[in-house]
Amino acid sequence: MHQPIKIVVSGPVGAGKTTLIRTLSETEVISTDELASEEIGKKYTTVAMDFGSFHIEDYPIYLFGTPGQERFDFMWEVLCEGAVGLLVLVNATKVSDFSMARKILDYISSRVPVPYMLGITHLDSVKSWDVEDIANYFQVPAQLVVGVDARDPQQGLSALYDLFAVINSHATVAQE
Amino acid sequence: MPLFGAFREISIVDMVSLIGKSSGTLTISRFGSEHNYLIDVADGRATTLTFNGQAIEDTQQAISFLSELVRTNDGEFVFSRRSLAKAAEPSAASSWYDLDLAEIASSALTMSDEIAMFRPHFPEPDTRFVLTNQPDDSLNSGLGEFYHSARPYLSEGASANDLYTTLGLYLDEIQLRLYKLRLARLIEPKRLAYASFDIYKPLPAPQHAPPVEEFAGIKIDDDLLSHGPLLPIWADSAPADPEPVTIPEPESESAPAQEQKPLPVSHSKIGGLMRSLKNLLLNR
Repeated sequence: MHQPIKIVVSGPVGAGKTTLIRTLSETEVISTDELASEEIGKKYTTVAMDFGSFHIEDYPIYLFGTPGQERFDFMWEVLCEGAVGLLVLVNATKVSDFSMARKILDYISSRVPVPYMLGITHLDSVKSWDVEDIANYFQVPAQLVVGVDARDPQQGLSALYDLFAVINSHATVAQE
Repeated sequence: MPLFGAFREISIVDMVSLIGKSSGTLTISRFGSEHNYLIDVADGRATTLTFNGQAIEDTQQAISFLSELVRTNDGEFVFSRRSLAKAAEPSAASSWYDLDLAEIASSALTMSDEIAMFRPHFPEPDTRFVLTNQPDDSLNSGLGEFYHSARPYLSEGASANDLYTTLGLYLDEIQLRLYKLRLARLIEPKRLAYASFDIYKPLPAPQHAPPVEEFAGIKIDDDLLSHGPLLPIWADSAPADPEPVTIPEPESESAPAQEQKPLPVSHSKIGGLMRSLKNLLLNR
């Protein structure tokens, strides 16, 4: 058995972080959901983190989800400690959340040297931005943007595969 | 008859508008303090500024004093016009600068409005930015001056919080400037993962900072005033002999490069993981 691989899933409220972790996790997901104290479009929201885990053969994968609200931003950097990759989820139909998503990505990527990828959810909606436009808004290369349906395990794993491919080709990793 | 009033009754912008193109002496006294400003005005432009008898000859410092007056909008004023005959004569005091009062008031107010409008889109104060492209001539003077002041730090990577303690500007003002520079594609977040894994090198220790963190959103009330006058920190810290505002240069000798911190995973492990994941995806 290998050492666990830590992946952080981040993004604004309602981007699909908890959904993706629940979709992929083989263990019961540990969540710190609380009743939302303000109108955020859903009743409960993550206040500290979500945690789920699964295996890819004998590779244990730990998934940590960050809170989406800005007032819990101190958790973003904490949760990225020791992470191998960061997947920032963005709901393509919620343009009003793009600014928050960019804030999260910019903050984490400029403070923690963790390879990241943007996972765009809800791309199947009629009214959503093109991936190229989203990449341009976030000022990231288009190859770091991937579509993902957080409810579909196949797509979730595929997004992780893309993230690992980017890590393998661009990031500085430990020596053998 | 001189023009007089309190800023709570006549806003500082109204006062500037009333002064118009007049020449004379503007005296401003801050409430709850002994602090007085004496401004020599020629054709609606400030040519000298004296604070509690000290000459503020540095242009940027004078702009900061005037902007601070607009921001706090606190105190009372008396503007004594010079007679037409005297206005035609050269002023007894030498002219240290030629600052358009209306422009400074307008800039300060515009900044307040812009901060209120764009605040939700501001980067986090600790997000670090680096330079990307060279600016052309299209940057307005305020943004251009900020760019040139911040450039030495942004070339290494700096956040709004870093610049706040280093450049002596308001934090929200810096966030607004960084937001605009980013829109102009002159800076971008310093993406640590894909550029390098160099460990962040902090900027030199703070030299000076504004009296409060934010330019906009502050409400002057009696409680606040009871804690003492709101003044630029260089006025508070050195009332007898004000030091000119200087922007410290980054250390010329760069600190030794710290060892790159690799991810806690090896290529072979990632490769193995990808092969396993591919098998999993193909067999589903």
